[in-house]
This record gives sequence, C-alpha cells and structure tokens, in this order.
Amino acid sequence: MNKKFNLSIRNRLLIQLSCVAFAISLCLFLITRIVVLQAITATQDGLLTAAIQSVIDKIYVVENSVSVDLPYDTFSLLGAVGEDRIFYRIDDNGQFLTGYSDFPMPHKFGNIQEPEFSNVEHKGERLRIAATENIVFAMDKRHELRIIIAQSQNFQKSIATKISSNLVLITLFFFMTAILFAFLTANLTIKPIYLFATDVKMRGPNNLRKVSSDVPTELKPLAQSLNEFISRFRSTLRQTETFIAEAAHHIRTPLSVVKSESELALRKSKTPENRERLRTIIKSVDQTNRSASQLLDHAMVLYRAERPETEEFSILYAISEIVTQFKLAADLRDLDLTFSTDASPTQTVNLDRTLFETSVRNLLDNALKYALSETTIIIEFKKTKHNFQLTIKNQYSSAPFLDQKQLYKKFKRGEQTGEIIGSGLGLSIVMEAVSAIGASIEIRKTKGDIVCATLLVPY
Amino acid sequence: MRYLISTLLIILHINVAVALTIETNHSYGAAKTVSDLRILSSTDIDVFAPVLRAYSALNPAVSITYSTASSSDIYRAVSNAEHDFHLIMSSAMDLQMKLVNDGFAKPVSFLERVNLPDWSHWQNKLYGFSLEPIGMVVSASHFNEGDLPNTRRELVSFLRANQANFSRKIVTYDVTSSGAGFLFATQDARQSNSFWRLAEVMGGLAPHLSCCSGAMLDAVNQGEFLLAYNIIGSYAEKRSRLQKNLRVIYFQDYTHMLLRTVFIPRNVTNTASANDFLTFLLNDVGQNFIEQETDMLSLRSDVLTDNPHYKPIRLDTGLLVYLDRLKRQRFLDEWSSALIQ
Repeated sequence: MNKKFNLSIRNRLLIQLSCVAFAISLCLFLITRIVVLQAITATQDGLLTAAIQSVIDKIYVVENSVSVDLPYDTFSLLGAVGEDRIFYRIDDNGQFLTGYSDFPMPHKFGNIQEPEFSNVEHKGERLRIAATENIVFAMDKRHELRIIIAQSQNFQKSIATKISSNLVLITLFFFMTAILFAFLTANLTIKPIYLFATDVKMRGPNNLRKVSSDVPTELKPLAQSLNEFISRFRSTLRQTETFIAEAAHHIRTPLSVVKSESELALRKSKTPENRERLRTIIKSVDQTNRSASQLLDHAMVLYRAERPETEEFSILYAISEIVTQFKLAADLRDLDLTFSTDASPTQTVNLDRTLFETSVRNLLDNALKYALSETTIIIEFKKTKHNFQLTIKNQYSSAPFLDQKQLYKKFKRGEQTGEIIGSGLGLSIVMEAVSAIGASIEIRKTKGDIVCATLLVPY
Repeated sequence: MRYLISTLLIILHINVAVALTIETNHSYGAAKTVSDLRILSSTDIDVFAPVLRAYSALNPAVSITYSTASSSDIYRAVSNAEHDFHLIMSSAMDLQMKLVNDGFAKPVSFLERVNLPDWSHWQNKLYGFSLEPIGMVVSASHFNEGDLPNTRRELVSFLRANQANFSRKIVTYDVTSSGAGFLFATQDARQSNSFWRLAEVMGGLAPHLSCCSGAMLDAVNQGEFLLAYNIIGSYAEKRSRLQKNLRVIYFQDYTHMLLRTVFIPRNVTNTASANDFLTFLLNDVGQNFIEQETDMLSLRSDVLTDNPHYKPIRLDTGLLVYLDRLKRQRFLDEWSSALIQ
C-alpha cells in the first residue's frame, strides 16, 4: 500500500474540501473584482456621457459658425473623485475647433445618448475616451461636430484598490469559514464510520452477535458482509461445539458400561496382576469420563458465553450452596472446608448464574483435588470497594510454580498433578466463564505452599 | 507680481519661441557657480524672501537662486521645456493646473509626513503653499468710514450714486494681458452674476486698465485713482502699512482666496533639493513661518474658518475651462463690451 492510500478518510476529505474552498474563494475574488471593475468603468462611462452631453448643451451658433461655452462645473466634477487628468477636443467638419489639437481622434463616434467609448494611451497616461458626433446647422450650413472627452483612470484605480483590499479580507474570511465547515463536515462524515469501527472493536472475543444494521447506506454492504461472516462463523462454531458435546455424551455412556463391567471384573478377579490391570482400566475410564464431562462443561460455557442469560440472584446463597455440595467430597478426602463471609445475603448480582456457578465449582473442584490431605481449604467471600471477592486457599505439599501463561490453556496440566485425575480443561473453563460474566480470576502461590485463587465479580 | 501680455498668445496657440524673460534673480545660501535649488516664481521677492532666508538658515550649504518672471512667461517656458529650474511657483492657478494636467510635472516625494488639507493639492504633483485673499483697495482720504462698501451690491450702489466722483478714477487688471487678473475676473463671473453688473457700472465710469498690482497700488496711494478692484491681499496689506492712504477691503458677499501653487517640472533629473524645499515649505515649520513671519496666509490659516465668505478657488480641472480658446474669447468679448464702452 502506498502512502496516499493510507491517508485517513477524514484528512482526505479535509484536503479535498479545502482545495474546493480555495478554488471557490479564488473564483469569488476574481469574479467580484471583474464585476467591480465593470461597475467602475460603467460609472466612469456614465460620468463621461453626462460631461459630453453638458458640453453639447453649451454649443451655440454665432453668425455662421459654431462655438462652445465649456461648462466649468462639468470639468470640475470630472476631476473631483480621483483627481483625474482631462483632455478634450472638438472638431468642426474635420477641422480642429478647440481643445487639445495633438490629441488623436478615435475612429468611431457615438451619438449624444450613447457615446463611443475606448481606451487610449496618451502622454504616459491610460485614458478612457468618450466620443460623440453631433450635427449643428448654422445659417443653413451643416456642421459636423466631433467631440471627445478623455479622462485618466485614477478614480477607477483608487476605487478598485480600495474595494480589492476589502475584497481580499472578505475572501479570506469566506475561505477560513469554508475551511471550518470542511473540518466539521469531515468530522460529521467520518463519525458513522468511526462509531461502526468502535462498535466492532469494543466487542469481546466471544461476542458473535450481529453488528448493528443502523449504519449509513454506504456502510450497509460492509455491515451486511460482516454479519454474514459472523453468522457463518457462529454456525461453524456451534456445529463444532455440538459435535464435541455429542461426542463426549456418546463416549460417556459406553464408558460407564466399561467402568461398571471392569469393577465387576475386579471384584471377581483373583490374580493380583489382573486386579492391577483392571484398576488401571478403571482409572483410565474415570479420566476419560472426567474429560468428557469437562468437554461438555466447556461447550456449555462457550454456548452460554455467546448468549448469556442474566438473572438477579443472591451471590452469597449461590456460593454457600456450592460449598455445601462440596462438603461431602471434602470429608471423603479428609479435608476440612471452612467458609467465612462478611457479605449480606440480600446483596445480589445480575449475571448468568450457570456461568458463575460453573467457575466457582471448577475452582473448588481444583482445590479439593490438589489440596494436601488433612488440611483445611479456606473459602472467604467478602465485599470490597468495587467487587465481590471470593478467595479459595488450599495447601500443597509443595506448591508448584504457576506459569500464568500456561495456567488457563486447554489440556495443559500442572507439573505436580501426578496421579490426580484431570483433563486440563478446568481452569480454561473458569477463564471462559469468568470473562463471559465480566469477572476476573487470579491464581497465585503464597507463603507456606498455599495456592490462592481469587475471583473478582463486579457489582 | 507681474503678469505679462504673452498669456493670451499662448492660449491662442501661437507658439512663438520667445526666450524666458527673467525679471529678478536673488541668491541665498552657499555661493556656487550652479545653484543647488533653482526656483522660478511669479511671486515678488519682497513677499517670499523671508521664507527663503529661513530655509537657507536651516540649510546653509544649499545654494538657492530665486528667479521671478510673469506667470505667462513661466507657463510658456515650462510648456516648451526651455528652462532648468527645480521648482515652478505661480499664482496663476489655472496655468499651473494646465501644465500639470498636460503632464509637465513630476510627483513629489516628501521626506517626512506632511499633513495637508485635501483642497490644497492636486494629485501628488501640484501643491498650494499659501492663501491670498483677493480684495479691493481704496484711497482712504476720499472715503468716509461709513461709506465704505462691504459687498459688491453696495459697491454698485455706491458707484451709481457717486458717478461724477469716480469717473476715470477706477483701476483694475487688464484681463487681456494679466494672467492673474484674468483668473480673478473669470472666478468672479463664475461665482456671481453681480460681477457683470459691477463690470457694467465700472465700464460706465471709464476705468483704467492696468497690467500690474504694484502700479495700481501706487496710483491709488497717490490719489490718482480712488479704487483698485481685485488686488492680491498680501501686496495690498504690505503696501498699506507703508502707504497710509491705502485701505484694503475684503467683500463680505464673497472674497476669493487664491492659492499660490508649486510643482517640480518634468525635466528635473535630480529632485532631491526640490523635495527637501517642498517638505520644508509644506510641513508645520514652513507653514507656521508663512503664517507668522510673512504677509501670506498659511494653508492652516484660521481666516477660512473664521470667515465663511472667504472662498478658496478650487484647485481642480474646472480651472482648465477658461483657458479654452473659445471660452476665453467669449469671456474677453463680454468683458470688453462691459468694461470698455
């Protein structure tokens, strides 16, 4: 991918809109300037027309010749605005009558109402000329009077300069405003994309719900494709889980048959060798059976993680019930189970109860399995500032090194599991369940070979 | 101040190559073969000398030559580019305006910020530097204090009532030969119709027509004439202090204010000395000096605000109109028929 492709949509929009704003501002400036110059030229032409008309008004006949009584105020006014230079010339039947004899006559002449206008360079000055032809009769003699009045363009220049400087400010203001709007537009345009991306980014690893279809039309194909993909992925995942669950279920039934048959055979077996083999078989069957159960549990946790069924329940009761259930198993293993709490039974949480109980059960199961015989498993439940905290402590003969990275991996078992039956799925199930309900788990070794598991459940 | 005959010839486009007639030459500052600053002016040295002395005192290293000539001679010399002056000064506003309009002036670059009233300059080329009220001078011994006319209407009535006393006793500019006289008369005609009535009345009294204000003032002082119409204030005031019989009157219907103007001619290559002098002349130092130490009025003079009937002649392209061949001829014809009966 080249750099240009990497440019953010917002910056692209911003650059494009700024370019457009600049182009429009420039056009605005140029067009307005042209219009202003045209308006100023029109004003000057109007002034020259009025001047020529007032000169024509002052043409009079003396005997058989014509004369002109130049109007003072007209000439005064012509130079009033921009202190413009003025030149004029009047010819009678092609003969110079008065004015500036060296001023070149233009080729075209208009009439009184509409003089002919042109520009000429004369004596180092650019001049605007109004030229008119007027017929006068004196003693039956036809006099063709050609009148020109030329004015320099200081007036035009000074007004154009004034307006241009104002125009620059106006254009600049327009441009800055356009840039501001471009910025806002870019942000507004990018917002749905940003929201969509955030929505996708913020979902948990097991959240396979459809993304919201409430997106702009342009993003609909993307959302649709994403949803189709999620849907396919979910269905594949479910098929896999169903397959595993069913496989586990199908294995468990024949396994119980194998186990009961083996136990029967063990009772009847006389030779110590056979009894030993049968015990090995029974142990393997137990192992397999437990793995199958854990697989079922795991599949269930994954399934529920996907669509948790939240309910409000007393967390203390839920834990107490589980602890009670484990009392018997603990007695069988010569373990003491103590449960202490400072929480009130009225304190409730709103989450998937099955997932919560599965995680607690698995933790206790682990504690029972690995605890040193004739020790006490201490269960504490209390309410902290932000969480409910459940701590389970059990004593090892020599507590193993706990590799936090490996701890929650599927089918990974600790170093000192030895003869203890287990599948390596327990903690991975706990992890899945805990993250599904938004809780967290920490297992660490403390002084005196005590392993402490801490489950933090938010209110 | 002297206005000579050639104005008319120039306006009539009779381009006779006549050498510039310098009337007086005065030098100030350091003595050099070729002066650093050469001024051609129509203003009498008596009136302008204090300004030159003040500038020279501030800039002793600069050598100045002040040459006087008639306004029409000045016009001709500049329009033919037959001169080597750095500054052109004249009280003939219309001729100065025409020279600048026709492209014979250079833009002025002031060496410091100069605050000028808008009406006192045209573009950045032609600058007015002093104001002059145009008045009437009478022989005081021939008037009772209560009889002195304050308006042109009163003057007309007064002359009508005293025809016998004033016959051949009135003097004014010969507008055909005097550029300043022509300017004053045309501005009068433009300002008010009462001018032509006054001209008719004066014409009936067989007035004497003169070229120059100095001669007119002397004649009035000596009682040769009783009344001189359209005289430049600074000259009249100066003379009236020496010649006690002179009484200057500024009319209350309107009193025109002449603007003495100056520009740098186009053919000047080194404008530094001219720019420096103009900066001095037009900034606060120069203007305050003119106001306090000379008989001229500065551009910032309180006279204008204190006297609403004082009307400066506008420095604009309207001034070109009476220089038009036909317009001028028409005016002179009417003036002649009124004054010369």
